[in-house]
Amino acid sequence: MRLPYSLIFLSAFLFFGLAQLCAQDKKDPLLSGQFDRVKVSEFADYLEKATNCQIYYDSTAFDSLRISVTFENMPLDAVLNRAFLNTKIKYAIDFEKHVFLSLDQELIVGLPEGFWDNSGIKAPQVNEEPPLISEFLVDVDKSPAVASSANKVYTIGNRTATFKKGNVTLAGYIKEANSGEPVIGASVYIESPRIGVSTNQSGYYSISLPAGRHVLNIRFIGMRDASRIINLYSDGKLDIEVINQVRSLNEVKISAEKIANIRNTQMGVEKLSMATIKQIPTVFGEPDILRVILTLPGVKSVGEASTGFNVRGGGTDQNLILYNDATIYNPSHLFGFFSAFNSDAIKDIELYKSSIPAKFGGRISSVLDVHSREGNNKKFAGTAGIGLLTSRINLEGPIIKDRTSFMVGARTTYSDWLLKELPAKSGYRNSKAAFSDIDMHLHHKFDDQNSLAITGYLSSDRFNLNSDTVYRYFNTNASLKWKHIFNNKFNGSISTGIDRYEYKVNSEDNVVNAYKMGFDINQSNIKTDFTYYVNSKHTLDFGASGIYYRLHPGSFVPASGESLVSPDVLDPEQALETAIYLGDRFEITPALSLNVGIRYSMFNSLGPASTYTYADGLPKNEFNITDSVAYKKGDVVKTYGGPEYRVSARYTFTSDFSVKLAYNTLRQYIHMLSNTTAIAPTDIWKLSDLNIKPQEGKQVSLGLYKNLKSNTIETSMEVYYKWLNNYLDYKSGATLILNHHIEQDVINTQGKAYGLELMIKKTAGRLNGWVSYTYSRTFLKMDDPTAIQLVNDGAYYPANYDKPHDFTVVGNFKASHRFSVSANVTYSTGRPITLPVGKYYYGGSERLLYSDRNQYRIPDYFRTDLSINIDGNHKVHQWIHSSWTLGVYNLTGRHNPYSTYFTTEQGAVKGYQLSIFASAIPFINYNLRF
Amino acid sequence: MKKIYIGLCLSVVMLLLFQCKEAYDPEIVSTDLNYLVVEGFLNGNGQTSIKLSRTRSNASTAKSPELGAKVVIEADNSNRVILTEGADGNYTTNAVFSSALKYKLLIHTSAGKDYTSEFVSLLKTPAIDSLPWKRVNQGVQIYVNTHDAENKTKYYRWEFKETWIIIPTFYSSLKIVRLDKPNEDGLSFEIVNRTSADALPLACWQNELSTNIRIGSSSKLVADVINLAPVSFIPYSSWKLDRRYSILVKQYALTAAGFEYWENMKKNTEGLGSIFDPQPSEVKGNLMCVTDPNEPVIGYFDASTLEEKRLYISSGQVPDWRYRTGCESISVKNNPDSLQTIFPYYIPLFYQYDLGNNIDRYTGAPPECVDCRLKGSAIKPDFWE
Repeated sequence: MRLPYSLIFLSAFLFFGLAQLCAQDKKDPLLSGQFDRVKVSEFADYLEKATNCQIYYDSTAFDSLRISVTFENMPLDAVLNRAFLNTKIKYAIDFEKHVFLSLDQELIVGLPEGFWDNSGIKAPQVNEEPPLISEFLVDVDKSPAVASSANKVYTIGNRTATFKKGNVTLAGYIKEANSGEPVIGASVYIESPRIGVSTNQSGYYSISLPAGRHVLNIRFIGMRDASRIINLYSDGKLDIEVINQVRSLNEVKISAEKIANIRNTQMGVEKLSMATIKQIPTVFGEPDILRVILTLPGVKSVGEASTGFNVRGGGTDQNLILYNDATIYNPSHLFGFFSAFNSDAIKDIELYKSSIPAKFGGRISSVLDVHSREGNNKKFAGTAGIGLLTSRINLEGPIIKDRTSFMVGARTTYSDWLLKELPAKSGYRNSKAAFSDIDMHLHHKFDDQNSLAITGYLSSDRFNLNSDTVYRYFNTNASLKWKHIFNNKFNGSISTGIDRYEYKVNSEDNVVNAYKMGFDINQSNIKTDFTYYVNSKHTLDFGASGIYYRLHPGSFVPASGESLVSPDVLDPEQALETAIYLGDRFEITPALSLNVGIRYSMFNSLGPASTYTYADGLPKNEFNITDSVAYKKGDVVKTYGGPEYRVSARYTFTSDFSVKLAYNTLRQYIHMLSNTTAIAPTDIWKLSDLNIKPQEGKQVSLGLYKNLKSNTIETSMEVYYKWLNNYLDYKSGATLILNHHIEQDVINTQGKAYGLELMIKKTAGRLNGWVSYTYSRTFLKMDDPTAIQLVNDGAYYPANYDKPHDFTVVGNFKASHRFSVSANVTYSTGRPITLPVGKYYYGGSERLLYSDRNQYRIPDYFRTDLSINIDGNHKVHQWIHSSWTLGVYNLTGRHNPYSTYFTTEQGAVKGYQLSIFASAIPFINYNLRF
Repeated sequence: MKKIYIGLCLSVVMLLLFQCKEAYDPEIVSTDLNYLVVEGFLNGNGQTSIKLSRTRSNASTAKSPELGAKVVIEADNSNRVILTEGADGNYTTNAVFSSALKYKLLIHTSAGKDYTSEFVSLLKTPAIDSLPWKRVNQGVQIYVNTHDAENKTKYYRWEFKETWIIIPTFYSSLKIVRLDKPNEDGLSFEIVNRTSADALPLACWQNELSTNIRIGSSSKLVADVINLAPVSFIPYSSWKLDRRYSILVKQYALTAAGFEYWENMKKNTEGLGSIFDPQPSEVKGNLMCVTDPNEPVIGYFDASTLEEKRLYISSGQVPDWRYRTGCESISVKNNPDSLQTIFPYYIPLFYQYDLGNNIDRYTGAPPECVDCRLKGSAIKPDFWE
């Protein structure tokens, strides 16, 4: 390893000493260096840097060769001569100073002299006029070329004799060659001058380049590096198909672009591909995006049986969960043991923890943006998975080849019969639990400018725990999105949809008390987003959105004619949330870029409604009601609104080191009411109204990013401080369900959260994964001068999910193409709990006197999971490709307490701790793909 | 393969549902919390009893009654009734209270602090309609049915006292008399016939008071009806139903606030620890310390009349009820070595003669199978029928 250091030193010396461009040089730079048994690739890299000459060679053919050479103040050809002396390597340099290395035989790079007929003139002058090696070009004036060859030269725009001065815009789609799926977030750039962009959600890019000849590079992990030689005359289109690098046949593997972490202006963004997600062991072997999110720094949950997650100290209701732009209110199945997303349908997920783009709003902690795949538009394909408790199937294919594709997925459980097999004394024999979900996607491309995506999603859950009370809940979503490209610089989309979440509880055994209880929330939304690539320095994002809410806060009605239950139906709530936003991605210099956004959101609580008004400065209770106001349909009960600022800046010190700073403010107009520690199916949501103010969040964060080993190792450090305002907490003993005047039972709470997140991520190689450590604290404080009884007397107390130390290792080792091992190790501080600090005798038993809220902690949490993936053979032309996933969850069998509780048994107080997965749990899954 | 697969599935489901429950004994910094606990209600149709005690640290096993306090019930017409102090911090009065007035509780402790409750109305508790019971899968469930024709009560609380009869498994006509010094056989006891004066009782009665909070509400119903509210549960084959069982259910009307107080206390201390259980939290009652308003006071002072109803269940009414006493008698030869193997630890039941009219064998049984006074009281309760 001593060599690379001297190499770095030398090349640095050379770089600064000889920073002249190769192709424009009249005189070749003189080189000095000393190399001992280095690979051809390293040597070539050095030469490219030192001379700016492109060096072409077949890397596989040169793999086994090593070069040892010393030279001082020598021109390039002499260096090459010396280096390859007595080896099989031959070199050739063409008139553009491209260096070609070959084995045994020298490459002919020029035409023989005298080829150009009778004039006897030598080869044409290169620098005056662009080379016209374009005799076999496809004409691309009308339909964009599908550029799939790296060796061709593509002519873009109206060909002219010479390249005009100034910038022109090139745009197009980057697609995966086999399935036609767009590649999102791929980086498209030219080296000199360094200009680059990333593809958007549709795989679309738009780049402003000087007219001329360029090598356009496309980089994306999981894809073969691609480049296209273009002669850019005027504005034009170029679609590029890239090829999967990996063994999978039609499964798109996507993850963050290699240098995105350094170059992106946004911070606190986590992007995960399905390939990464599938590697991480989960409890029943089924890939689960929410479980994977929990391994990321800054994301926590209360415990294992909860799918609600907490981002940087935010509440579980402060995350906007979007599935193809549809809002998912309950992202979990079966008490949180499964996430509501079918992994086969998902392309990738993005979690915004800090810099939330201005186009998102409505929640104050994070945005989890889940994208489905579009479906294979080339051929019919499918996947299926068979697990111990669940099975899933996913079918996709073209309806009209290359234009219309569909994808349908479904999942279900078959756990009921297993529950029946349980011995009677387990107490769960009469329990039932089942869930299912259905995904439907249709994608149609009208022409190059217009495409339409339709998404339908339906999930349902049903369970009863050894009683006659049946719980059911449903997510129903439908969305329609039309994308339009106006021109190379301007594109946009408009989407509309309806989202619904509802739960139902019924109990029918006791005829007198038989009831049905229900809650639902409906929203219709419309949203437009536009992107305008002004020039290479400015990209504008702007748009508007509107959401109309209609919420039925609760109904309690008799379930049968004999029931004496008195119907209690709370008045529906309705509101309109609108927002407009404008953002500018401003690249001030290549090193410094700025992302400035402003969003103005407005919320109108609408009638019909009847609300109480309360005396100012007095507790909101029945004694302080000053008036009762009835609003008619269409009346505005209350309007809230305000600007939200989204600012982030990045400064790149070197190509692999950058610093970012971000400041964000957000507003939230819908609140979840829950007095359990995790998301429970019976949690309800409440809209802001006359008496309930919107929540506000504010965050500043700073991050340092450094990549090592040619960007294969990413390291980052982020610190943040966050303020939460008007978060809702509840009075002790408050009833949240069917409460006609919930404002009397809630207390405004303030929160503060701060933390440090460290992460090292290895993105390539046989061993990949990440190690993260987080130190974070979250405190809440009831801050309501009018409330009478405050938790902890109005002092700060730790939130339920305040776990200061968190250490996670996620690793995957690919032993061979067919066999890989994944492991996941998690340690965190136990969560805070409220413990009894004393006891007294009351009502025939010992009773407990509890401490101030959350003053104690349950024991620390530690878990190790292991899974093995075994793939079937990789013959391309077989009908079914199968794979097995087997593993063990909680390998050490540690009893990680989820909660503790104290109960009076036979008059005495006994403490218990409850562990959800209190032993090693083996799992096995069979997956197939066709 | 299929078998293994199913077996694996089962084990997974069982692991999933057998959430592991273990004893948990956290180390808690012992805090010196010494708050006044006030329990009791103003009885509109009987003796009013207020019990005063103190909160204790978790480790403490001693009782901590509040002695020497002055307890007064004051009506809103300023009439006062002073309660007399009995044993263990119980303060009682037999005064009759008018339902037209409101009352509050005043306490002056020996430490010089004053406490007061809010004024409460004297609620009229409706009568219990019936105490239905049902043989369910794992035992016998006893319910309460009640209603308020005036639709005023809405909130109810129940306490109960269970009584059951114990019939000894064996009848003994003999007893052991311990000797001051061993007799010629080397035995330190001898077995003699019982006289009618020391005959063992043929039946005893055992009592148990309710320990769990039982509350119910009809606030969500159109009529003030409580239908099949569970009060007591007798686990399958419990000895309570070996012969005959009786339960006296006491019913109290509550105010909405009082109901909320009891409900919260129930959640805090009787929760099942399910994953959806709410966090424990303290709720203030309607009592406060006048001397130091920041000092918490535990308890809720309510006023109501008391309604009672009694139910009997005999073992014959409950099919398939098998209480196993575990009682077996042992017969030994009448020689000192054999006798010493079971006596004097067992109670002798009877003896058998051999052909020569000599005592050949003695039969004995463990004391708890013979003398029911070891389990209950031999005095027949007044109500027992």
